Amino acid sequence: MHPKSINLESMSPALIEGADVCVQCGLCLSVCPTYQQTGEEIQSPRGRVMLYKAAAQGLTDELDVVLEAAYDCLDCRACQTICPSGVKPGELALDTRVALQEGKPANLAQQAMLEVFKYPILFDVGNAGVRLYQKSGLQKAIRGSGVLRGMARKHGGLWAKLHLFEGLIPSREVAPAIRLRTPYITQHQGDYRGTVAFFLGCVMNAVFSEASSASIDILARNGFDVILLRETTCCGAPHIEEGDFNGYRQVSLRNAKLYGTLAVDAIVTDCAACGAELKKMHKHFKDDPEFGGLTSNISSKTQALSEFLKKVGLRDLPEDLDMDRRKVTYQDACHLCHAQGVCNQPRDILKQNPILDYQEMQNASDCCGSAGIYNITHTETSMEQLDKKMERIRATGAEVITVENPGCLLQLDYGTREFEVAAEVKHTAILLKEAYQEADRRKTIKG
Amino acid sequence: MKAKAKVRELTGYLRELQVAVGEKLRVELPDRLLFRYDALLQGEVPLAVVMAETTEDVVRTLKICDHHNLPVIPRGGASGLSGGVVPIKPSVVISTTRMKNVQIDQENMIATVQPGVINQELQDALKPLGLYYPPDPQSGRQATIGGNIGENAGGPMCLKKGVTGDYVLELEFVTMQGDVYRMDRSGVDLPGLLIGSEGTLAFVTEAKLKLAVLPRYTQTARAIFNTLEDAGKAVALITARGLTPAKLELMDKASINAVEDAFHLGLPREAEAVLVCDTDGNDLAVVSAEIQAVKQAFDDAGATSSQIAQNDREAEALWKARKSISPSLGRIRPQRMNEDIVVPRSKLPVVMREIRALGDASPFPLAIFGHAGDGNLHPNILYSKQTDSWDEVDHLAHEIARVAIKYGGVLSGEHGIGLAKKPFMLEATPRATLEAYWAVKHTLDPKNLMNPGKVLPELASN
Repeated sequence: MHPKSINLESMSPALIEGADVCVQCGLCLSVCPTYQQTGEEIQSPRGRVMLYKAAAQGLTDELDVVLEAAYDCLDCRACQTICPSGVKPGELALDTRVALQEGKPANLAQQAMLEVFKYPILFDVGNAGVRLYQKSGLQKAIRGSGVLRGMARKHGGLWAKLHLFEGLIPSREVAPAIRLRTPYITQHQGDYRGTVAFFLGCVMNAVFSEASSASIDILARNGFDVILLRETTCCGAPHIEEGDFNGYRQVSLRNAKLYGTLAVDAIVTDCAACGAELKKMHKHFKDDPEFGGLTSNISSKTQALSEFLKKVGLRDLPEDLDMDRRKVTYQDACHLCHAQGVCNQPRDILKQNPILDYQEMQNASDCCGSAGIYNITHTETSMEQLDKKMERIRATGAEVITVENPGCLLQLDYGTREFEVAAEVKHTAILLKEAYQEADRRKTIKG
Repeated sequence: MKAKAKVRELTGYLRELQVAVGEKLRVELPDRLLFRYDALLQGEVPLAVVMAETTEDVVRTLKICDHHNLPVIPRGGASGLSGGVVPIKPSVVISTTRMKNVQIDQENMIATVQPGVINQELQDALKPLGLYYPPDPQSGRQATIGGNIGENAGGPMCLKKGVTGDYVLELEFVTMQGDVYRMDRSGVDLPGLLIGSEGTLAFVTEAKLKLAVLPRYTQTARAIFNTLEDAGKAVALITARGLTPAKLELMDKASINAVEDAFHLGLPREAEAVLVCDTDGNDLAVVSAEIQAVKQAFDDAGATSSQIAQNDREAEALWKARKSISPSLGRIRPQRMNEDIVVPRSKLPVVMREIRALGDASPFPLAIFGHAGDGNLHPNILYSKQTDSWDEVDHLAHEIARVAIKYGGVLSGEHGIGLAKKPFMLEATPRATLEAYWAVKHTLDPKNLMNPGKVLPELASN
């Protein structure tokens, strides 16, 4: 992470302007995970914003420290929700990363990783790899032997990362990727209500494909034709989060061509990160004569799954199935609640779900520590967050934890195993699909 | 999370500080740049920052600073609105944000806290026990108890419950020479002198605080007035009739319109004032009777409409307007200078009129709201760093302060004097009083190293 030949000029006005809105009241300190853990001003939204500005003004030339501060931010954006003045420290962190790295990934490993996101087929292959790893019994053997845990405890460092990386793979058998096995159009059921495009996220497609399948099913069941574009590439969130604006631009423009002129009522996604990125897409291309219009269409049409379902209203979901309801608690994905402002809709839908007994968790909108690849780059901080989160989940007595984002799903799934919390982790779409299935089953029995 | 790029070879006092506090010392510029501001002003970049964790850290740091004649700034959440923790010369900042120990003696209803504990964190710890700590500054989510003590902070609840000083039972503090004292309020009340001294006399390292039992019932009423006089009359009637609301808050026409522009709550834009009031206690009949009496006082004073909330949800809706002021003002202009005057309650209408006139004659939008029950007003001058001149803002703020003084008021209710109002102390305070303050300051801090340049204006004889 050593920035060379830094040229802040192009970004400086934006960084200074963004920070100038801040009145330094410090309210953001009360919701910032890293400030809560350290008490350090440089680990707070206010401090970081002041530092970006100081760097942009040339008050410090220690730009590696500034860049590090920008990377220490989880980009959870809780500060953006609470800020009365509308400062956006999370977005400014990304702007700073882009500016200080001049739009390029920081190192070779990151470059390679970000390259992977450009080719959806690699995710299908990765998915197959994970399935092989699970089916061959290797996962069971490695976990059973505790070898990674042992090495991680003994040597830390790379072993700890490897232990975490392996631990993030769910224990349940991962379903095959859906990209290649889902038709271009999934036909609506019942009365036709419209046509939507389903934006397929990378990790959703690979590790949580059953959730995306459920999302598509629910949309069709609710009267929507669902278009799935197999050529869809990553939304660009991983790129821009690592300061790789060039990579972001590349994948975004490919998606802009695919979705920009699509005649659909909405672009629906069950991935909070994709939703946040697509909604913000236009911001980066608004002055572009070719892509300005296309990205504007995408940004205005994109909706999170629960946001869309709440708006159109769920169809044929019975109020009561006269059964023991499973206790469920909801974790706000930062990119759903803080970045998109979608906080009540998922809760409303969960409360409407007849197989669930909804329990609100304390501080549900605090980040779980996943934050893109933050859990891998800043493992210690991330695990402290996760520990706190697990404690709060335990306090609800919930049997199921649900969230609408793959990163959080992975992190929470890992958390339940690592901190021994007896709860299943499921995407909200799965729980909804289960409710529909249960309703169907009863109808069949009766019928 | 810690990998600083440069590792400097430290010399002189920095080396001594490093030996004394180790990795709690911050000397790199990017870190230090972030310890020059509070929520109002920006000053000098400090020479070093000590992230203190224990009283011993404070003692060691103060001794070294005293030896080298280095000014020291005590700093908590830096949410202050008077420049109280802004360095004005090269100084060492001692941050208390890691001094977060809380011990609760439930039986005796006492909390012993380190200064870095956030007010809200203390409330969160107390709530499950059915207790609370009554001083409730609006910045309670980010302000530290140490800062609350330094500013003698209050909040909407201070009308009934009093301010920080009413709840401090005992203080542990360290003088600039590094001597540690622990004193209660009996006999000569030295802790009382430290409360509200804005960190200019000694460094508070621990406080014993009196707690209260959470009232079981709260009821809310709101009234709308066509004239400021009527609102002022209502406030006077409420107190004259022996009622003691938990909170009694006022917002003026400019605040009403700012909130309406931002949130469309359905407040009448033509109204001159809105009053919101809470009564609380453990006897529902008493609390209800009191809110009825408050409503009667509103009506007797000429409210155009008044209402009592029938449930928590309605109460929340009535408070929503008052609580929305801050976010809505930010939409008008990004920055605001939050004045903090206190005037006799009977003078509220005339003071508000005169301040309004000053605002109208100035280039700045001005909104007035505050804790009417105490006569504590917050006229907010709205401005933009980019386009407006700070001198003009400062000038208007001083004109507003002059109105307060003219009507027998004081310069600060809860935000302190700090840097922003220091020049005004000369006008507002008799010289003999200032000399007495200086005599105390010289006794405890003979070299004038403890948060220098704050509160007390230099006198010719000094």
